[in-house]
Amino acid sequence: MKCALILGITGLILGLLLGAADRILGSKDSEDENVVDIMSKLPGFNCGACGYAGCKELAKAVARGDDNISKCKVIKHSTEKNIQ
Amino acid sequence: MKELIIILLGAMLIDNVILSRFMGICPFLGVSGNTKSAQGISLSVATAIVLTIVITYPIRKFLSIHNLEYMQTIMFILIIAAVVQLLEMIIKRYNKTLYDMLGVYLALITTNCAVLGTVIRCTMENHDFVQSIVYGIGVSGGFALSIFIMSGIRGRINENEVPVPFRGTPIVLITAGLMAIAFSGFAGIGG
Repeated sequence: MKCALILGITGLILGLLLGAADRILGSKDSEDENVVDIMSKLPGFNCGACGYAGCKELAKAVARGDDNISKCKVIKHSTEKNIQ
Repeated sequence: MKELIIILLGAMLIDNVILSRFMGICPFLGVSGNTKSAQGISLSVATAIVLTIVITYPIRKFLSIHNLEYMQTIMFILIIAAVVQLLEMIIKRYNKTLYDMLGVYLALITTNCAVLGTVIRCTMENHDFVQSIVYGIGVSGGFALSIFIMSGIRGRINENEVPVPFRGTPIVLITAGLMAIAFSGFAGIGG
């Protein structure tokens, strides 16, 4: 019982601290709409099979025009399944 | 004082976290491409380790007083995750270039064995506050040393003709093995 209490309280304190830090440090993130749009098409597994470090990196590369969204092996696999 | 120097050198050279204890290989292989990113990741890991040690010291004492040692692992992981999140927020706000360069490897510091391993080592060997901090600084220094050496070597590898089967990760792993053999020459110093 003690340990559940300790864990719960620690989690609560850390969560509040991180929330406060987020408010203070604030994300001045101006998300590029293209990137968000492309990311909604990607599965979001961050598997790295495309060669980029996470889905966001591939989305950024596609938005820049450096690469093609067909690099994502997860989408390719599921579209093939749909055709079958 | 002599003891602190032994702890520092031990953590940095003799018991190098990457090359002797084999922890923290992920950023070692993933981010050592160039010196800039090596600099960034070693600074981030150093901050994570030292912050974690400072925060977990009172928690260690608290848990051992109440005979709750079995909770150490999960409490440490909670603290490490929170510290790395905080670090990520700070880096994203104050140095966007570094944040983009490190990418996902910054979040991966949470699962980096080097951070948890250092804290658990301090607990096992029952270091007090100053000794723990010195140990943390030593581990961070050893980490930085290994990554810098690797990034230098990788720069040279890229200019040379590597046989096709070895290009990319295989030659880096072989290089890491050779570095580990070189660092094993320090074994036995300081008892």
